[in-house]
Amino acid sequence: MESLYWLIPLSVLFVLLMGAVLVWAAMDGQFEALEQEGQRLLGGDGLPNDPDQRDQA
Amino acid sequence: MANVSVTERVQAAQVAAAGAQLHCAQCGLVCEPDSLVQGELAGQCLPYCCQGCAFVAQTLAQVREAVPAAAGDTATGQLQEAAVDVHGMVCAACALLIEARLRALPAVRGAHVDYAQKRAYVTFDAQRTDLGKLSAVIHALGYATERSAEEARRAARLELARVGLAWLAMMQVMMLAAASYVAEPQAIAPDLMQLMRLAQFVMTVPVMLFSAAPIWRSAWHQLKARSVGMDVPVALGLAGAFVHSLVAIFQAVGEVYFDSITMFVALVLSARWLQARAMTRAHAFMASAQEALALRAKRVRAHATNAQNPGYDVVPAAQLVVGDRVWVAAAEAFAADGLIVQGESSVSQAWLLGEARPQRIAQGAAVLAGSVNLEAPVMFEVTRSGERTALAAVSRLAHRAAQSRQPMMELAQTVARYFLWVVLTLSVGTWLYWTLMAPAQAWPSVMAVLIATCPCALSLAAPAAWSAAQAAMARAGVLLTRASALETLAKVGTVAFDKTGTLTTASPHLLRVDTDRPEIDALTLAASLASASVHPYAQALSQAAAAQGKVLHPAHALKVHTGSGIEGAIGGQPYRLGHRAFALASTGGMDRLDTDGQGAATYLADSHGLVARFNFGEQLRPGGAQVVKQLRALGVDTALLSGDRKPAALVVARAAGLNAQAVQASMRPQDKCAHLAALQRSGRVVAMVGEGINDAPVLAQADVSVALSSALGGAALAQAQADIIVTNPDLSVIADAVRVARKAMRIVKQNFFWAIAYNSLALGLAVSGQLPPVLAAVGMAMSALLVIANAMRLHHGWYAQAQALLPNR
Repeated sequence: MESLYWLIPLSVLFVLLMGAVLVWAAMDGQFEALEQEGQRLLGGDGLPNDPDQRDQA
Repeated sequence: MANVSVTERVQAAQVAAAGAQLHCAQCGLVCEPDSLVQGELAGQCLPYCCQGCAFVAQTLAQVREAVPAAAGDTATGQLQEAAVDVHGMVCAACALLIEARLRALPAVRGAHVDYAQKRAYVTFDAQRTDLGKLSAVIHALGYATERSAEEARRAARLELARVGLAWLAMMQVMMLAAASYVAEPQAIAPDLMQLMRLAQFVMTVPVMLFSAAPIWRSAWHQLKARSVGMDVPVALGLAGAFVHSLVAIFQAVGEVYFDSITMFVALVLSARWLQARAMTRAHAFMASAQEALALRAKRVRAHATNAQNPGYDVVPAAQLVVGDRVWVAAAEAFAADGLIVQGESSVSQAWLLGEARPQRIAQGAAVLAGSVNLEAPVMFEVTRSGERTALAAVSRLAHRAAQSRQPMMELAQTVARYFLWVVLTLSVGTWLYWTLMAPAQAWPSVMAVLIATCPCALSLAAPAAWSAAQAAMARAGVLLTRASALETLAKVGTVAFDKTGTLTTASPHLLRVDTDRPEIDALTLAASLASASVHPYAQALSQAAAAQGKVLHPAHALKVHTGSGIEGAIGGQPYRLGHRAFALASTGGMDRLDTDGQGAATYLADSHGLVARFNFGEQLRPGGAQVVKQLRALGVDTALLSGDRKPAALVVARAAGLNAQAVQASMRPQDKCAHLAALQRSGRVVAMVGEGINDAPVLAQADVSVALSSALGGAALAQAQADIIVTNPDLSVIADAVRVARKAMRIVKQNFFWAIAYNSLALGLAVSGQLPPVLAAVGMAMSALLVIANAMRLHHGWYAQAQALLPNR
């Protein structure tokens, strides 16, 4: 039980840190266009030197 | 440019000053003696009509001194163009001031402020400045700017950050709070309990300061404006709970409500965030139309020496005037309405028609601003620019609709406003009652009353559904121009159609060719003769021949007999095309073709007698038959009001599947009005569908008027006086619109029912102290979420239907 006296303040610090990271990520636009990055991975970027695109051509 | 005109005005003012009247050195207006201001400029004492003009002149002079330093800088960065809406300009001098101030900035390459449009067009070096800084410069001069796209994006991210932080804090606070809820009394040591409360407090502070900031701000604005809005009781409840909890910590007695606070903020912000997203989606259509408009255009130089390659200047779209010729490369948008003068391509008019099917364009074809050139570069001549384009007209109509309030929404807002006063009064009463009876119950009960009864859901009920319906309709090419049209459309009992140009295409169409000499290609012969005439029947023949890929013969000795027909010779043979009597005049011979046919007919004869009879009729518009069928399925009557003769009207009615008794023929506009009025007297809500301009009085008589802009082209959009404008060429979207309107009204009613039921129930429970603040927070937010989700349903349903219809067209 003694450990709670420093674990709780520590967890509060962690939460504040997580909150700061979350706000930073949101303001940086990390939660926008969530599908785009997945599409990029799957579909290639459409440039001519992309192997998938070249094979189809 | 601006500087020159100012100097000219100063000179003009000096000349005028010698006379009896003083003219302002800045704006040139006559100075009233009582508001005259003397200002010193470049060592001269000049008169100004007001302090504003004196200020503008001084600033301009300072700016002018700064300009040469900036002009020498030629480092090329990434040039960017932007249009910024500027508010607060009261005269053209203001525009000059902003223009000069912007140009004085080193990073700005060009600035043009259009006073009439209230918009600034700026070309700037994107590496050295951004729109925010430019807006700040305009702000510093005392003018307001519209939020730029960049700022809007930032605001959206901020909202997300607020919601996210609130959820994170809510989960953590709830963990600590839960421990004290489930533990036996005294099981947790008092100092540990105190530590846990402090921890909850520390984690709640960012939520109160950062996440809840919009609530504080809007509550403060509402109080300042002396109107009680939704956020006032919410802010009171939050602040009360926070202060009460804080006091409880320091006095080490009483309850803390940090879990309620964080949960409430998280849920309320989530509801608002979802609502904002739904609204953004609803307005995405208009936004895409705005984005579709090109901001700059490649204007072809007028007095070019090299006709083959005249060269062009890139100018702001707003500077285009009628008669300008503009190049549009592939994948670029048209900056104004106009006619193609060179080149062939296809364009997409998705913003207007609701479908992205490419349309062919060639020389002489009309194009609308906002359309995207898909294939090859073309040159067009501007016929309408700026605020007179169809795109601008559509934007204006949509804005008008968004601003006009639906009666039902108005009512809900009023009810919500009164309800708020009831809530505030009740919370005071609750507090008094519980303070006297059981003081420990007082705070939780008041908080529950303040939070649980917030009429959020009530005030969202109608607007959420309305904007979802509007967006869904706009996407299918049905524009509401008045908010109340949706409600009326839902109640429609009879839809009356005009005939020509509405249920049918405006021009005649070749229906049938009868001949008893099949060895002769009558259509080719007739079309060859018809090429000499611009008569609608002649054009229908030419079109039919072209559609069948016929190669026309050269015709000689063509002679057009106005009102009768055409005669001419093909391959040495004389032919006559026209009325029966005219065609037979040269032969006097007998014919075996019977003469009674449907609709109007034209005859072709050679020297041996009649060759063929061509029957013309009106062609039903696409979707003309479906709309009647679908409306009938919805229980809506259809009627045809035609100025044409009965037989012609009946032919169209039969093709569209209308009952013969629903056809009213030979009607003058006043007859149509009277007919509609009679229908209305019998208790029916009547919609009139017409082409929108010539039948304006008839449309005005109807309860809800529908104009078909596709019948007229984009030009007439702005003039069309109707509650609903259909831009989709397919008529059947009218039936879809009725269906969506009914569904929207059903959803509004469901929403109202839910909101009222919830608020009454919550109020009762909260006042009697039966509703813990946590549950109040959940209940209130959930009811708002439910209302929004219900409205979003409309979105999906219609969209799926519209998609399902498209491939059949």
